[in-house]
Formats: sequence, C-alpha cells, structure tokens
Amino acid sequence: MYRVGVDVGGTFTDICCIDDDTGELRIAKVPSTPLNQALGVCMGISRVIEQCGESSAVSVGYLAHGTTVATNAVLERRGATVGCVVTRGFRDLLEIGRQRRPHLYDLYADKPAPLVPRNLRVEVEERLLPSGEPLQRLDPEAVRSILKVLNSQAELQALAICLLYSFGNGEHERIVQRVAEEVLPGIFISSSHDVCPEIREFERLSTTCLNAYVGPVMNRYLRHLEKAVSQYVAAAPLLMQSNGGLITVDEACRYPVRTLFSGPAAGVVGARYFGQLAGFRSLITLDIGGTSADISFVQEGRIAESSEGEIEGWPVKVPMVNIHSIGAGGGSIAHVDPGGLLKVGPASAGASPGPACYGRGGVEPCVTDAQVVLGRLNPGYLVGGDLKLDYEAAVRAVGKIAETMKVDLTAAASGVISVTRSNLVRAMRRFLAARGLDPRDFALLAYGGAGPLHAAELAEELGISTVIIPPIPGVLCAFGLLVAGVRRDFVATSVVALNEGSLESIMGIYRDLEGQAIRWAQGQNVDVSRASILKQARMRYRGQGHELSVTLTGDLTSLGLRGVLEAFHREHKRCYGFDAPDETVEFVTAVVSLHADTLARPVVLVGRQKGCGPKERLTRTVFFDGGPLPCPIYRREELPPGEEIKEPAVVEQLDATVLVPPGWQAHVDRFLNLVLARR
Amino acid sequence: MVDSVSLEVISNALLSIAEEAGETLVRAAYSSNIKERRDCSTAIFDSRGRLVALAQHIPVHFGSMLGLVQEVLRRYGPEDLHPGDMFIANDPYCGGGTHLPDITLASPVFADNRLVGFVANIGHHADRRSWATSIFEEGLRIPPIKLLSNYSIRQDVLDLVLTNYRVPHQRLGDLRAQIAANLLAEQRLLQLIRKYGYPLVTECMDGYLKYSARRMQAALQALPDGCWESQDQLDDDGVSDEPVVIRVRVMKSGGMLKFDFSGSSPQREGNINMVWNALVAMVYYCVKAFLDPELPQNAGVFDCIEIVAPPGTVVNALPPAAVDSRTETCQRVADVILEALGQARPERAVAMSHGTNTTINLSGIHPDTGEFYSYLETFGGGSGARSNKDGMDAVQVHATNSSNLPVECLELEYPILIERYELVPDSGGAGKYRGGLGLRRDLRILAPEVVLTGHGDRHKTAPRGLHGGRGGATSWLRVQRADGTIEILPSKPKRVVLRKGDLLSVVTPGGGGFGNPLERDRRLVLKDLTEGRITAACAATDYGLAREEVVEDQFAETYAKREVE
Repeated sequence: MYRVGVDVGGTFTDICCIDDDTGELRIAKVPSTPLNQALGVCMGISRVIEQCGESSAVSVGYLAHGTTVATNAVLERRGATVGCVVTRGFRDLLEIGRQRRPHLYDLYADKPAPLVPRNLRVEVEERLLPSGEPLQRLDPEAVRSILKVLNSQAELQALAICLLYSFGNGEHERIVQRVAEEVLPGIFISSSHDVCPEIREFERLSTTCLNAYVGPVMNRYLRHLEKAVSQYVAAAPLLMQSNGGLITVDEACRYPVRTLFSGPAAGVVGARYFGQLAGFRSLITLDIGGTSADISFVQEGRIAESSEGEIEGWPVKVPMVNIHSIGAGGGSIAHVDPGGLLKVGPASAGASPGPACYGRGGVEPCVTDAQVVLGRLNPGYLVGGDLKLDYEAAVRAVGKIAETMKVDLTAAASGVISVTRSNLVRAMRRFLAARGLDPRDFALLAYGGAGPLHAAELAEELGISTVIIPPIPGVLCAFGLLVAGVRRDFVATSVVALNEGSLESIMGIYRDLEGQAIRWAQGQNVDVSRASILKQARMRYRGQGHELSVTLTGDLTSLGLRGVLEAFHREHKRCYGFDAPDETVEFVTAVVSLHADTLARPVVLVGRQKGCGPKERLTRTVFFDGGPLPCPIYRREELPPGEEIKEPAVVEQLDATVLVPPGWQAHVDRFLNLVLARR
Repeated sequence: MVDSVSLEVISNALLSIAEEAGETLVRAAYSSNIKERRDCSTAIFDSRGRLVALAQHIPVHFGSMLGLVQEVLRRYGPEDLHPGDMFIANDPYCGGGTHLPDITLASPVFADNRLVGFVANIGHHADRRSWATSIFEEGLRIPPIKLLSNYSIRQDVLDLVLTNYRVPHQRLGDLRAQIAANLLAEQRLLQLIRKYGYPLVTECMDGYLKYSARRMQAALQALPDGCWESQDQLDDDGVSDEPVVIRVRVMKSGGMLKFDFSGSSPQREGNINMVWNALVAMVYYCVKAFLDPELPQNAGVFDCIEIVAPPGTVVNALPPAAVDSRTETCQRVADVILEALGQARPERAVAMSHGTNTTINLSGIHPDTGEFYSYLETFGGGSGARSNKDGMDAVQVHATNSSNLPVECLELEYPILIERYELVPDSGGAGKYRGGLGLRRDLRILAPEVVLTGHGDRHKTAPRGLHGGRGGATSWLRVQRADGTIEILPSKPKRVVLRKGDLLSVVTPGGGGFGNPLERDRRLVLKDLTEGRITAACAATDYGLAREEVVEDQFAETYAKREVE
C-alpha cells in the first residue's frame, strides 16, 4: 500500500509517497494550479504513482492533503458574502474589535475591511448573563422577520451567528440556526457555540465569521477534490489542520477555519519526526522559503501550541501550532536605506519574478542572488529540477548594492547574508525569550529551500551546537502529512474558581468532552485502540487577563484538586518565573484532544546509495564570513549513512543546498539526516 | 567610520537585546497591566546617556526614556557609578518621568571598568489612581536613587517604595521582573562586547545615532522651508471652565525643524499638565508618524529638532502641577502638530482625530463578594480622514493604543452590564474623505452604589476637518437615572455616585473630514448610507445626495427608534 501526502504551496505542489511495505520514499514537485488546486493535486498524484511503476493509483490507501484554499480566500479577500447575527447592541463588535490601530506610527495604515459589511450584520433582541441564564429570551418569530429583511439585502452565501455567552449556553444560537435553515435554505451556517465555544466575544465572533467567510469556497473545492481524486485513489482524503492533525473532508467542510495555517503546521510535524529519529526531542524548527521564514519549536517531543492566531488582522481562536513568521526568505530584497544602512526585506520578489538569478525578469538584488555570488549556491544548479540559475544576473543585481555601498561585489553579497542572519537571529531570540526558552537547550532543524543554507551560521550566533538537515528539506510539509495523525480538539468554557466545590462540575465537563471525542472517533472510523486523549486546562490567577494552558496527566479523580492546582502553579512558575500559591485560581476552558496515529509503523527511509561512498565531483570557491575558501561539493544522495564530512563543504541536493561552514562538521545518520555539529 | 554592514548587524543586535529584555519583563511581570497590556518599555543608552535602542509599545514612554539617564548623569558623577548599581525613579520633575505610575529602572554597564552605557526599562505600576491638583497628592515621588548596589537590593529603599502602594506584593513582583530584565540586558550587552570588542560596539552606538540623524535629515528633505501654525483648545482642565489652549508654530529651515509652543495656556490646577519629557515624546511621535514611520527610536533624530516651550505652561509644567491625566493634552498636542505639518505636505496630512483619551473608572464594593473593585476602561474614537482615504472608525490614536476589556470578561468581574457598544452614525466629519466614527458604550449599573471618576474632552469643540472637510462630532457623557431623569456629566467627572439601574452612556468624538464633501465619490456616499454610517439627512445636507438617490439602510428605522428610547 502507498501513502501519499500532497502539500499545495504558492509555486509548487509537493508530493511525498511512501511504500508502506518497503519504506521507500518518492517525492515529486509539480507546478501549483491556483485557479483550481485540485488539478495540480491530481497531476502530482499521478506523477508520483508513475514513479512507483504502478499503472493506476488504486493501491494508494492513504491520502493526506494540505491546502491553501481557505487561506488564499482570506488573503485575497475572495470569500463568501456573509450575513451575521449578533446580540442586541453589538452590531459593530466586528469592527470595533479591541479598538487598537494596526500600526503605532503609520498614519496611513488601515484596519482590515470587515469580513461582513455593516448592513449585513443584524441584531436580535436577546441577552444572556455571564452565568448563561437568559436575561431576555429570544423570540424565534422576531428572528424570522429579521432574517427575511437580511436576505433581501444581498445574495447571502453564508451566515455567522455569534451571541454573547453562547460558549456557556448555545440555546439561543441554536434557535437562530434553526430559523435560518428555514428562511435561508442551503446556506452555509457557522455558529459560534459550535465553531469556537470560548470566552471573549470579539475573538469568538471573528473566528465564526472567518469560518463563514471561507466555508462556501472550501466546500466547493473539497467536494470537487473528493470527486477528482477518487479516480486515482481508493482512500478518502484527509485534510491538515492548523493544529498539526488531520480531519476528514466532511469536518473540514464544516470547520474550514481550522485549516488556515495547515501548511506550516505540517512542516513542524515533519520536522519533529526527523528530529526524533536523529535522537533530539527538543528542537527549534526553521523553515525558510522564498518570502518568509517560519520559526517554531518542539519541546520534549511536544510541538509548541497556541490557542489563538491571527490572519490579516483577524483573530483566529482555534488550537494551532505556534509558528512565528517573519518576512525573511530567499526572495527578500536588499536595499540601502535613506540613512545609508544596508537593509534586507521585508519586501520580497517572491516566486515571480523571483530573485534576479532565476532569470524570470527579476532585477532587484535578493538574498538568493547574494548566495549565488558567494558561490554558496551552484550557478549551474537546477532549482526544483527545472530552473537553471543565472550567475550573471545575480552579479548585476548585487552589483547595484556594491556600487551604492562603494564596496566590492563579494563584500556586498556577504553584507546581505550577514544582515539577513541578524534579522533571523533577532526574531528567533525574541520568540524564544517570550517563552522563557534558551536556544542552547535545543537542536536546530532547518528546512525549506533556503533553511539549510543559513542553518549552521545561525546556530553559531544562537549558541546552538547541533543542526539537523532532514533528508528531504524541500518537501518536509508534504512529508509531515504522511506521518501526522488524526486529531480533533473539543473545548468547553466555564469560568469558575477552582476549589473543592467546583471540581465535580469541572470533572463533568471533561467526562462530557471525552464522551464527545470517543463518539466522534467512532463516527470517523478511527481505530479507538490507537487513539490517545490529551486533556488540557486553561486557567489563570483571578484578575489575570489571559489563561495559561496546563496539561493534565492522568484522570482528574486521582489528580484531585491539589494535583490540578499544583500543575497550574508549576506551569506558571516554569513559564513566567513565579507562582502565587495563595491566590485564587480560576478555571476557564477545558480542552480534550483526541489524537490517533495513522501510521502502522515508522517510516524508515531507504538509503539510496548504500556503500558506494561520496565522490567529490568538484571543488569551488565559497565565501564565508572569514573569506573565500576552496570547498568540496557533495551530492546528498551519494552520501551513505555513517559518512563524515569535514569543514568547509557544500552538500547539494535536488531541493536544497546545505552549507557546512568552518568550525562545523557533518555526518549522515542511519535515517539519512545530515547532522552538523560544532567543533 | 564603521562600515554599513557592521552598523546594521550591531544595531540590530542592540535592538534585539532591548526586545529580549522586554519579553523577559512581560513574561516575569506580576500585574496584568504589564503582563497582558504590555505597558512597559526597555532600552539601551550610550555612555553619555543618549538613548540608542528602544523596544516599546507606548509612544509616550519614549519621553521618560530620554529623560531618565540624563537625570542620573546630572546627579551622579563617574565616581558614583559602579557595576551592579541600579537606579529607580518615577518623578516627572526630577526623575525623567512623565507621570508617577511609570517607574523606571536604569543600570550602568561596565566592561573592564569602562562605562559602555546604560540599560533601562519602564513599567507602568497601575496601583492607584487619585484625582489631585498637585504632584504631591498624586503618589510617591522618587528621584533617581539606587535600588541596587553591587547587584544586591537595598532593602531600606525597597521598603520605602513598597510601603507607598496598595498592593505591595504586585509591585514587588513587577519590580523583580524589571530588575531581571535589566540584568539580562546587561549580560547580553557584555556578550556583544566580548564578540565584537568594546571599540566597535561603542562606535556602532555612536554610528547608529548618526545614522538616525542622517535618516531624519533625509526625511526632512521632503518638507519645504516654511512656517506653519495650529492652535486648538481643550474644553477645560476639570477644575475651572476656562479652555486650555495648545498652540504650536512649526518652522523648517534647511536641516532644522523647530517646534515652538509659545502661546499655550499657563499650567493648570487640573491634572492635565504635561511635563517636558512628555512633550518631547509627542513631538517625536508626530515627526516619526508624519515623516518616516520607520525612523529609529533614539536620540539621534533630535540633532535636527528644536523644541521651545515656555516653562510653566500646560505643555511644559513646573512643580507642583498635577499630571495624571496628561494624555488628554498629549493627544491634542499631536493633533495640532500634525495639522501644522500637514500644511507643509498636504498629501501626507491627516485631519484631527478624536483627540482625547476618554477614560472611565468605576469602583465600589462588589455586592456578590463584598470586595472592593476598580474597573478602568479607555475608549477609542474616530481617527482623522487622510488625503486619499477615510479615517478609521473607533480606534485608539496617537499617544496610546491600549485594548478594551472583553465584555464577557468584565461583566463576569464587575457588577456592570454592557447594553450597547457601537459606532455613532454621522459622527465622522463629512468630507471627500470621511473622518472615522466615534463609538458609544452604554453601561448599566447593577450594584447599589458605584463611584465614577474619569477624564475625556471634546464635549465643547469638535475635531477640525481639513481642506473643506467638516469637523467630527463632539462627545458626551451622561447618566440616565433609574427613574428616567437624565443628567449630563462633564468631560472630567469626579466622584459621581451611580446607583443600581442607572445607565451610563459614553460617546467619543469622530475624526475630522478631508476635502469638500460634495466631491466625495457618490458610490462611497451610498455605501456609507447603506451601511448606516451616515443618515439620509446627512447624505442630503452634507453630501448633497438627491432624494431619489437615497437607498436607506433597511435597519435604519429599527436603530433610529432605539435612539429615542
């Protein structure tokens, strides 16, 4: 049986295929088809199946997919026409939000245009109290007449419903939903008590509206995709979510907001997999692509999580992999600013036209151009298999910087790399410091087209002594899809002081959520015996404005009140450096995550050139911080497990180039990771 | 001279140190004001006390940072500065601050007995809020004194400080976080020196300031030589009804930009006075916002800025003027400076924004718990329209950018019910580009007795429009008593007692419009009308929309009916 992972990116659609019987991995890259991503997906699947020597794809028993359809709909503002129902008095909540302006100093910056225009946001007469008790009951007939008027305002494609305190009592929202199903038949409905049953009205409303905004688009795409791939694949596709776990097409259709950050999340899942094979349970992961760098971490085998993210200024309150993205990639443009300093990014030449060396009409000096000038990238090299780099174009572009700075070409190029590195180091330090983490306690796992080029020098600056480059750094997101499990989070909010009196009701909440999780798993044909359940509690000291997520190990009965309290104090101390055992702890949100492995056994990559040893094809001059050095060039696929590489060296492979700078040495582990160690 | 790559790399590293210290401060802080609202800043100074790198979230902190280390150097000679010293200060008049709740800590950093510079941070200690007419009643005044000596806390100093606060354990928690942040910044700065050497790092500090000056000069090139003026007034100072005049004259001549505030009102008894450092912060804010939003935040930009403000005026107050509500004046100072600068470059101009920092504080005994509570909220309003687009609706502007509290959280904590939270139609000044809308929040009182104190402005004069744009709507504050009687409250209410069933309505001003409203794109007028941002009457009278063009918001009637309620 084959397992296939397909990840759609801006330029390429990446495919990873593993033969479950032999462990052999095949990868393919096909151009993405932005107008209908399904075309590229199908093309990629058939390409990789051909490589397997199979005539048809019926032997594909597993298909996992990461898509940017929902994300692009938000970024390009091509979502549905949405109506929105809120509590009386709160028509403008979506626009007022947290009343912060988008930029502290830019007087010409703007807030994002509302996802639902003001005339399509309507109020219903109803009000719940913080306890969930109704202060004013909702009249279904009033809802009916309001929805009729709303329907006459525009051709609605979706409806978002978000009433105050619905996280604790969804009854009024359910009434609105029932009436809407009658008055607006066939419309996509997103109710906040279902999509995001969490406290804080604006974040819940924003999440609910985003879900409605991308709902119709995602439904069209996924239903089409399902049909299209069924010609090739026996298995029903699974979709990647922002939390690093997979869900079915039906679930993704209902909760498309959960897929908004799925691509980067899959990458971190893949990174953890190779990091663990290499024997490292704590990793900083760094994915550098064309326009941005994504930073995340894995601590003691657990992927960093966050309960909230943001897209285009809109809060998204769903559990997700904690990823920090900055505008630093291979396509980032270098320039000398009005004060005479060399700056890199955040403007980017992106994939099109791309860096000057791509020869697609780009003329701005990009980071990749500097790498070419410095001999770090092979000018005769093929990017993604089909693009030859244009050395002369890179020289011309970087030459402009050299001229402005009045230095020679390589000094300018080195400058571009140094500045890029300092930008990355600054972002990484800040991200880690905010979480109380010391980079020296981690190994750095770098991937993406450009990650392996920068990794060792970044590690040097951060005091990190080990760098891991997985065997397939350019398609790690697609690989992550192969090894990710199924995951679904169930949340419930109930704000109570945590004490003997409230413990029983809290235990009831967890029992209820676990019941939901298991029923869900059975309904999805998930092998419950392979499933694990993770319980988390979001709590705070009374008076704090944000909650801290604490993992509850073991069942609550045996943990008891003291166990839960201690877990919170401990986590607070670990994260923030202090605890306050005398203060009241408030329980806010219960999270139950069901995770089920889909992998029958570990993927073991087969070494491709066992025993044939590396041939040094050529040597070229590469410029490092200390100056030019002759540097042997290795082909990654010719390096067998156990091979040692001395500094300095360049290791080239189809989808990336690894730099082994002076002061570092590398070896290939038995899983084909290239592990760099500081001497 | 340092090469441009080393300069960028090392200045980036200095900023990185400030940011890392800032994250450490936020992470280790105890109070929610610092922890969640990030009301704090961190910075690095050179050996002459010039601010080099700043990581901040609150524009007005810039002023406190500029002032503190200068004040330390004025009082302590080189023989008094040692490794392991850490100074504490908060006083606006002799501690470099802008109001007492902002407590600053600063440490000299030495490498091999040579002074490298200083690391410092500010934390806002939101412990007490009192309405007073002199600085002596506003809280504990701390001039720069050593809180740490030889890396150990001086217990006597700490005790003196903590004794003066209501929640000492929170103050201690926050101060510890501030100390930790400075110690971390010191370590990082020393590491940087070990890596690049003392000469290069200090050269880069100087080089970065010079770079900032060059960048400021480059930004100045975009302004023609000339002189531009603006004047506006606050309703009152909360004590007398006399308006508070703010006046500025901006002069650009060659490479210099001069701001002259002569003609502004003498300092007042009410607590709306600004001290010098706050004024400097607002001038800097405006220069950066108007000329170059990416301008570095350091002392270098002041090489070509001159500020004149007669001592004893409301923009450069002398002791014992009270300063706690200084942000009211800060906001207006920003509005007048931007209006003046806008005459120099109309394409970068912005009409006046809501121009206040509307704040209410409700406190009392919670009927359910029997405990004292204090609920503080600040409100945004309309921002001014711009030369090519509308202003933003309901945002914080200029000196502040603080979040509101989620309704679902505040109702849980305080005996208050929020009955409406919405944009105010027609409040944005009409114009080719419309000013942003103000907002309205209605709060129902659920406890037997609640005390209201607060500050705001613009009840009497509206934010002006530009180039034919109309002014934004004024604001108001009122209470509808449980028996139905309506009381109009002043913009700066002091200890107003509210009772169960009373409804407090807070309405903030809209922003000024830009350009002739009759030139507004008809489609935008219709869109505003459809969306209920303007009423049919406004569309007809202000924008000249013909009656047959009017397509009413289907819900306008419903919402209009409610206005009458």
